[in-house]
Amino acid sequence: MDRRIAAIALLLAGCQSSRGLYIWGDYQNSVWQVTSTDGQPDLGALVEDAKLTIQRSADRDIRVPPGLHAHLGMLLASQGQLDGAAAAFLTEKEVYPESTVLIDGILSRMGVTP
Amino acid sequence: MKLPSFARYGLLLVCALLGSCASGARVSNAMLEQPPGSILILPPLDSTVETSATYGSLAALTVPLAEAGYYVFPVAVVDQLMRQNGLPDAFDMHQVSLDKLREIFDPDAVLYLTVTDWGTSYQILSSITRVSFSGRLVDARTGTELWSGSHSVARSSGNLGGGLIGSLAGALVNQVSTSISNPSNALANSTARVLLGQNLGRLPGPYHPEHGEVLGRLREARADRR
Repeated sequence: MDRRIAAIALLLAGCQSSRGLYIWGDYQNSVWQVTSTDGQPDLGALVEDAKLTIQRSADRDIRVPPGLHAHLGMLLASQGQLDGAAAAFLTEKEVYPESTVLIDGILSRMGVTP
Repeated sequence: MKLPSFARYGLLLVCALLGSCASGARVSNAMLEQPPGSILILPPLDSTVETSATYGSLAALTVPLAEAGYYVFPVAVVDQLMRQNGLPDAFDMHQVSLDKLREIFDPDAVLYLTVTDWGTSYQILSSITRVSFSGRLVDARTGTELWSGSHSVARSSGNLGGGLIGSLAGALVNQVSTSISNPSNALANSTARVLLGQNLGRLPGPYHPEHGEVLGRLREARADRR
Protein backbone atom coordinates (compact mmCIF):
# COMPACT_ATOMS: atom_id res chain seq x y z
CA MET A 1 0.00 0.00 0.00
CA ASP A 2 2.81 2.39 0.90
CA ARG A 3 4.46 1.73 -2.44
CA ARG A 4 1.20 2.47 -4.20
CA ILE A 5 0.81 5.78 -2.42
CA ALA A 6 4.37 6.65 -3.27
CA ALA A 7 3.72 5.87 -6.94
CA ILE A 8 0.64 8.07 -6.98
CA ALA A 9 2.52 10.89 -5.27
CA LEU A 10 5.25 10.58 -7.87
CA LEU A 11 2.73 10.77 -10.72
CA LEU A 12 1.18 13.85 -9.19
CA ALA A 13 4.55 15.47 -8.64
CA GLY A 14 5.35 15.06 -12.34
CA CYS A 15 2.19 16.91 -13.11
CA GLN A 16 2.48 19.60 -10.53
CA SER A 17 4.64 22.34 -12.01
CA SER A 18 3.03 24.91 -9.74
CA ARG A 19 6.06 25.24 -7.49
CA GLY A 20 6.98 28.17 -9.70
CA LEU A 21 10.17 29.85 -10.81
CA TYR A 22 9.39 33.32 -9.49
CA ILE A 23 7.75 35.45 -6.83
CA TRP A 24 5.25 37.70 -8.63
CA GLY A 25 3.71 39.77 -5.85
CA ASP A 26 1.06 42.04 -7.32
CA TYR A 27 2.67 42.39 -10.77
CA GLN A 28 -0.40 41.24 -12.68
CA ASN A 29 -2.66 43.72 -10.95
CA SER A 30 -0.06 46.43 -11.45
CA VAL A 31 0.03 45.75 -15.20
CA TRP A 32 -3.74 45.91 -15.32
CA GLN A 33 -3.86 49.16 -13.32
CA VAL A 34 -1.35 50.86 -15.61
CA THR A 35 -2.69 49.65 -18.95
CA SER A 36 -6.46 49.72 -18.45
CA THR A 37 -8.02 53.09 -18.95
CA ASP A 38 -10.43 53.25 -16.02
CA GLY A 39 -9.21 55.60 -13.36
CA GLN A 40 -5.79 56.85 -12.30
CA PRO A 41 -3.51 54.24 -10.76
CA ASP A 42 -1.87 54.98 -7.42
CA LEU A 43 1.69 55.03 -8.78
CA GLY A 44 3.27 55.36 -5.34
CA ALA A 45 1.59 52.18 -4.12
CA LEU A 46 2.55 50.30 -7.29
CA VAL A 47 6.19 51.39 -6.91
CA GLU A 48 6.27 50.21 -3.30
CA ASP A 49 4.75 46.89 -4.27
CA ALA A 50 7.25 46.28 -7.08
CA LYS A 51 10.16 47.12 -4.76
CA LEU A 52 8.79 44.76 -2.12
CA THR A 53 8.49 41.91 -4.63
CA ILE A 54 12.06 42.49 -5.80
CA GLN A 55 13.22 42.46 -2.18
CA ARG A 56 11.36 39.23 -1.44
CA SER A 57 13.06 37.59 -4.43
CA ALA A 58 16.45 38.81 -3.24
CA ASP A 59 15.78 37.55 0.31
CA ARG A 60 15.13 34.06 -1.03
CA ASP A 61 17.95 34.33 -3.53
CA ILE A 62 15.81 33.68 -6.59
CA ARG A 63 15.76 35.54 -9.89
CA VAL A 64 13.36 38.47 -10.17
CA PRO A 65 10.58 37.74 -12.73
CA PRO A 66 11.23 38.86 -16.33
CA GLY A 67 10.14 42.44 -16.89
CA LEU A 68 9.63 43.45 -13.26
CA HIS A 69 12.66 45.76 -13.05
CA ALA A 70 11.65 47.42 -16.33
CA HIS A 71 8.06 47.73 -15.08
CA LEU A 72 9.37 49.45 -11.94
CA GLY A 73 11.46 51.72 -14.19
CA MET A 74 8.36 52.76 -16.10
CA LEU A 75 6.44 53.48 -12.87
CA LEU A 76 9.31 55.59 -11.52
CA ALA A 77 9.63 57.49 -14.81
CA SER A 78 5.89 58.24 -14.69
CA GLN A 79 6.47 59.74 -11.25
CA GLY A 80 9.33 61.87 -12.55
CA GLN A 81 11.99 59.90 -10.66
CA LEU A 82 14.33 59.61 -13.62
CA ASP A 83 17.49 58.49 -11.80
CA GLY A 84 15.69 55.64 -10.09
CA ALA A 85 13.98 54.78 -13.37
CA ALA A 86 17.31 54.60 -15.25
CA ALA A 87 18.79 52.38 -12.54
CA ALA A 88 15.82 50.01 -12.68
CA PHE A 89 15.99 49.80 -16.49
CA LEU A 90 19.71 49.02 -16.30
CA THR A 91 19.08 46.25 -13.79
CA GLU A 92 16.55 44.65 -16.15
CA LYS A 93 19.24 44.56 -18.82
CA GLU A 94 21.81 43.10 -16.42
CA VAL A 95 19.52 40.33 -15.21
CA TYR A 96 17.98 39.67 -18.62
CA PRO A 97 20.27 40.51 -21.57
CA GLU A 98 17.33 39.64 -23.87
CA SER A 99 16.02 43.13 -23.07
CA THR A 100 19.16 44.98 -24.22
CA VAL A 101 17.75 46.56 -27.40
CA LEU A 102 14.54 47.64 -25.66
CA ILE A 103 16.34 49.08 -22.63
CA ASP A 104 19.04 50.88 -24.61
CA GLY A 105 16.30 52.48 -26.71
CA ILE A 106 14.40 53.64 -23.60
CA LEU A 107 17.56 54.99 -21.95
CA SER A 108 18.67 56.92 -25.02
CA ARG A 109 15.20 58.49 -25.28
CA MET A 110 15.53 59.45 -21.59
CA GLY A 111 18.86 61.09 -22.44
CA VAL A 112 20.90 58.50 -20.52
CA THR A 113 23.90 56.93 -22.24
CA PRO A 114 23.48 53.18 -21.88
CA MET B 1 -4.51 -7.33 -7.36
CA LYS B 2 -7.70 -6.23 -5.70
CA LEU B 3 -7.66 -2.62 -4.65
CA PRO B 4 -9.87 -1.30 -1.90
CA SER B 5 -12.55 0.91 -3.39
CA PHE B 6 -11.13 4.17 -2.06
CA ALA B 7 -7.82 3.36 -3.77
CA ARG B 8 -9.64 2.73 -7.05
CA TYR B 9 -11.35 6.09 -6.80
CA GLY B 10 -8.00 7.60 -5.95
CA LEU B 11 -6.51 6.17 -9.14
CA LEU B 12 -9.43 7.48 -11.16
CA LEU B 13 -8.82 10.90 -9.69
CA VAL B 14 -5.14 10.70 -10.58
CA CYS B 15 -6.04 9.76 -14.15
CA ALA B 16 -8.40 12.71 -14.36
CA LEU B 17 -5.73 15.06 -13.03
CA LEU B 18 -3.15 13.73 -15.45
CA GLY B 19 -5.65 14.04 -18.28
CA SER B 20 -6.13 17.70 -17.54
CA CYS B 21 -2.37 18.25 -17.67
CA ALA B 22 -1.73 16.58 -20.97
CA SER B 23 -3.69 18.22 -23.74
CA GLY B 24 -3.25 17.61 -27.43
CA ALA B 25 -0.93 19.13 -29.94
CA ARG B 26 2.66 18.29 -30.68
CA VAL B 27 5.50 20.74 -30.53
CA SER B 28 6.05 21.90 -34.12
CA ASN B 29 9.19 21.11 -36.07
CA ALA B 30 9.80 24.82 -36.49
CA MET B 31 9.73 25.28 -32.71
CA LEU B 32 12.14 22.37 -32.20
CA GLU B 33 14.55 23.69 -34.83
CA GLN B 34 14.44 27.31 -33.72
CA PRO B 35 13.34 27.29 -30.06
CA PRO B 36 12.72 30.88 -28.94
CA GLY B 37 14.09 32.25 -25.68
CA SER B 38 12.38 35.63 -25.54
CA ILE B 39 8.76 36.38 -26.41
CA LEU B 40 7.13 39.72 -27.17
CA ILE B 41 3.45 39.68 -26.22
CA LEU B 42 1.41 42.29 -28.06
CA PRO B 43 -1.82 43.54 -26.46
CA PRO B 44 -4.46 41.04 -27.71
CA LEU B 45 -6.94 41.90 -30.42
CA ASP B 46 -10.51 42.05 -29.21
CA SER B 47 -13.14 40.38 -31.35
CA THR B 48 -15.79 40.77 -28.64
CA VAL B 49 -17.97 43.73 -27.78
CA GLU B 50 -16.35 44.16 -24.36
CA THR B 51 -14.01 47.13 -24.17
CA SER B 52 -12.09 45.65 -21.22
CA ALA B 53 -11.02 42.48 -23.07
CA THR B 54 -7.67 43.64 -24.44
CA TYR B 55 -6.15 44.86 -21.21
CA GLY B 56 -7.98 42.49 -18.91
CA SER B 57 -6.42 39.61 -20.83
CA LEU B 58 -3.00 41.21 -21.37
CA ALA B 59 -2.40 41.24 -17.63
CA ALA B 60 -2.99 37.47 -17.43
CA LEU B 61 -0.49 36.40 -20.09
CA THR B 62 2.94 37.11 -18.60
CA VAL B 63 2.92 34.79 -15.59
CA PRO B 64 2.21 31.44 -17.33
CA LEU B 65 4.65 32.14 -20.15
CA ALA B 66 7.45 33.28 -17.84
CA GLU B 67 6.82 30.36 -15.49
CA ALA B 68 7.22 28.12 -18.54
CA GLY B 69 10.77 29.45 -18.75
CA TYR B 70 10.59 32.21 -21.37
CA TYR B 71 11.83 35.77 -21.14
CA VAL B 72 8.65 37.82 -21.51
CA PHE B 73 9.04 41.47 -22.42
CA PRO B 74 7.42 43.82 -19.88
CA VAL B 75 3.91 44.10 -21.34
CA ALA B 76 2.96 47.45 -19.80
CA VAL B 77 6.26 49.02 -20.92
CA VAL B 78 5.75 47.65 -24.44
CA ASP B 79 2.18 48.96 -24.54
CA GLN B 80 3.17 52.42 -23.32
CA LEU B 81 6.05 52.64 -25.79
CA MET B 82 3.82 51.74 -28.71
CA ARG B 83 1.09 54.15 -27.67
CA GLN B 84 3.67 56.94 -27.38
CA ASN B 85 4.76 56.11 -30.91
CA GLY B 86 1.37 56.70 -32.45
CA LEU B 87 -0.18 53.25 -32.12
CA PRO B 88 -3.29 53.87 -30.02
CA ASP B 89 -4.72 50.35 -29.93
CA ALA B 90 -4.09 46.63 -30.31
CA PHE B 91 -5.25 46.60 -33.92
CA ASP B 92 -2.57 49.11 -34.93
CA MET B 93 0.07 47.31 -32.87
CA HIS B 94 -0.66 44.03 -34.65
CA GLN B 95 0.03 45.74 -38.01
CA VAL B 96 3.64 46.61 -37.14
CA SER B 97 6.14 44.69 -39.29
CA LEU B 98 8.46 42.10 -37.74
CA ASP B 99 11.43 44.18 -38.97
CA LYS B 100 10.22 47.15 -36.96
CA LEU B 101 9.47 45.03 -33.88
CA ARG B 102 12.98 43.57 -34.05
CA GLU B 103 14.48 47.04 -34.35
CA ILE B 104 12.74 48.26 -31.19
CA PHE B 105 12.49 45.10 -29.05
CA ASP B 106 14.62 42.38 -30.66
CA PRO B 107 12.52 39.39 -29.52
CA ASP B 108 13.07 35.83 -30.70
CA ALA B 109 9.33 35.40 -31.22
CA VAL B 110 6.13 37.45 -31.20
CA LEU B 111 2.84 36.27 -29.66
CA TYR B 112 -0.29 37.44 -31.53
CA LEU B 113 -3.41 36.72 -29.53
CA THR B 114 -7.10 37.39 -30.08
CA VAL B 115 -9.75 37.43 -27.38
CA THR B 116 -12.77 35.65 -28.87
CA ASP B 117 -14.96 35.53 -25.76
CA TRP B 118 -14.89 37.85 -22.78
CA GLY B 119 -17.66 38.40 -20.32
CA THR B 120 -20.77 37.20 -18.64
CA SER B 121 -24.09 36.50 -20.27
CA TYR B 122 -27.09 36.59 -18.01
CA GLN B 123 -29.94 34.18 -18.29
CA ILE B 124 -32.94 34.34 -16.03
CA LEU B 125 -31.77 31.62 -13.66
CA SER B 126 -28.02 31.75 -13.99
CA SER B 127 -25.11 33.46 -15.62
CA ILE B 128 -22.23 32.12 -17.67
CA THR B 129 -18.83 33.76 -17.85
CA ARG B 130 -16.63 32.70 -20.74
CA VAL B 131 -13.09 33.68 -21.69
CA SER B 132 -11.54 32.35 -24.91
CA PHE B 133 -8.22 33.10 -26.57
CA SER B 134 -6.76 32.03 -29.85
CA GLY B 135 -3.27 32.86 -30.95
CA ARG B 136 -0.06 32.16 -32.77
CA LEU B 137 3.62 32.47 -31.98
CA VAL B 138 5.77 33.67 -34.85
CA ASP B 139 9.55 33.58 -35.29
CA ALA B 140 10.61 37.25 -35.32
CA ARG B 141 13.31 36.73 -37.97
CA THR B 142 11.65 34.45 -40.48
CA GLY B 143 7.94 34.98 -39.80
CA THR B 144 7.56 31.19 -39.52
CA GLU B 145 4.70 30.06 -37.31
CA LEU B 146 6.16 28.25 -34.31
CA TRP B 147 2.94 27.47 -32.48
CA SER B 148 -0.78 28.12 -32.65
CA GLY B 149 -3.62 27.24 -30.36
CA SER B 150 -6.86 28.25 -28.75
CA HIS B 151 -8.57 27.61 -25.48
CA SER B 152 -11.85 28.45 -23.83
CA VAL B 153 -12.88 28.41 -20.19
CA ALA B 154 -16.43 28.92 -18.97
CA ARG B 155 -17.89 29.12 -15.51
CA SER B 156 -21.54 29.25 -14.67
CA SER B 157 -23.04 30.49 -11.49
CA GLY B 158 -26.49 29.09 -11.09
CA ASN B 159 -28.99 29.06 -8.31
CA LEU B 160 -30.16 25.59 -7.49
CA GLY B 161 -32.96 25.07 -5.04
CA GLY B 162 -33.51 28.68 -4.12
CA GLY B 163 -36.86 28.90 -5.87
CA LEU B 164 -37.67 31.26 -8.73
CA ILE B 165 -37.72 34.45 -6.68
CA GLY B 166 -34.41 33.55 -5.08
CA SER B 167 -32.91 32.83 -8.49
CA LEU B 168 -34.00 36.12 -9.96
CA ALA B 169 -32.58 37.99 -7.01
CA GLY B 170 -29.36 35.99 -7.35
CA ALA B 171 -28.95 36.88 -11.02
CA LEU B 172 -29.58 40.51 -10.24
CA VAL B 173 -27.10 40.65 -7.37
CA ASN B 174 -24.55 38.91 -9.57
CA GLN B 175 -25.01 41.49 -12.29
CA VAL B 176 -24.51 44.40 -9.93
CA SER B 177 -21.49 43.09 -8.06
CA THR B 178 -19.62 41.73 -11.09
CA SER B 179 -19.65 44.99 -13.00
CA ILE B 180 -17.28 46.22 -10.29
CA SER B 181 -14.94 43.27 -9.92
CA ASN B 182 -14.87 41.72 -13.38
CA PRO B 183 -15.07 37.88 -13.18
CA SER B 184 -13.53 37.64 -16.66
CA ASN B 185 -10.19 38.80 -15.27
CA ALA B 186 -10.09 35.74 -13.00
CA LEU B 187 -11.15 33.35 -15.76
CA ALA B 188 -8.51 34.85 -18.06
CA ASN B 189 -5.88 33.41 -15.70
CA SER B 190 -7.24 29.88 -16.18
CA THR B 191 -7.45 30.28 -19.95
CA ALA B 192 -3.90 31.68 -20.16
CA ARG B 193 -2.51 28.97 -17.87
CA VAL B 194 -3.79 26.19 -20.12
CA LEU B 195 -3.11 27.84 -23.48
CA LEU B 196 0.31 29.32 -22.73
CA GLY B 197 1.59 27.48 -19.66
CA GLN B 198 0.58 23.93 -20.60
CA ASN B 199 0.10 24.04 -24.39
CA LEU B 200 2.75 26.46 -25.64
CA GLY B 201 4.83 25.56 -22.59
CA ARG B 202 5.00 21.92 -23.64
CA LEU B 203 8.46 22.96 -24.77
CA PRO B 204 9.71 24.89 -21.71
CA GLY B 205 11.87 27.95 -22.33
CA PRO B 206 15.56 28.35 -21.44
CA TYR B 207 14.93 29.58 -17.86
CA HIS B 208 13.07 26.39 -17.02
CA PRO B 209 15.22 23.69 -15.39
CA GLU B 210 13.78 21.05 -17.76
CA HIS B 211 14.39 23.02 -20.96
CA GLY B 212 17.39 21.03 -22.22
CA GLU B 213 16.02 17.66 -21.25
CA VAL B 214 12.60 18.18 -22.88
CA LEU B 215 14.11 19.70 -26.01
CA GLY B 216 16.46 16.72 -26.36
CA ARG B 217 13.68 14.21 -25.80
CA LEU B 218 11.33 15.86 -28.33
CA ARG B 219 14.05 16.12 -30.96
CA GLU B 220 14.90 12.45 -30.50
CA ALA B 221 11.26 11.46 -30.77
CA ARG B 222 11.01 13.43 -34.00
CA ALA B 223 14.11 11.77 -35.42
CA ASP B 224 12.59 8.36 -34.60
CA ARG B 225 9.44 9.18 -36.53
CA ARG B 226 11.40 9.88 -39.69
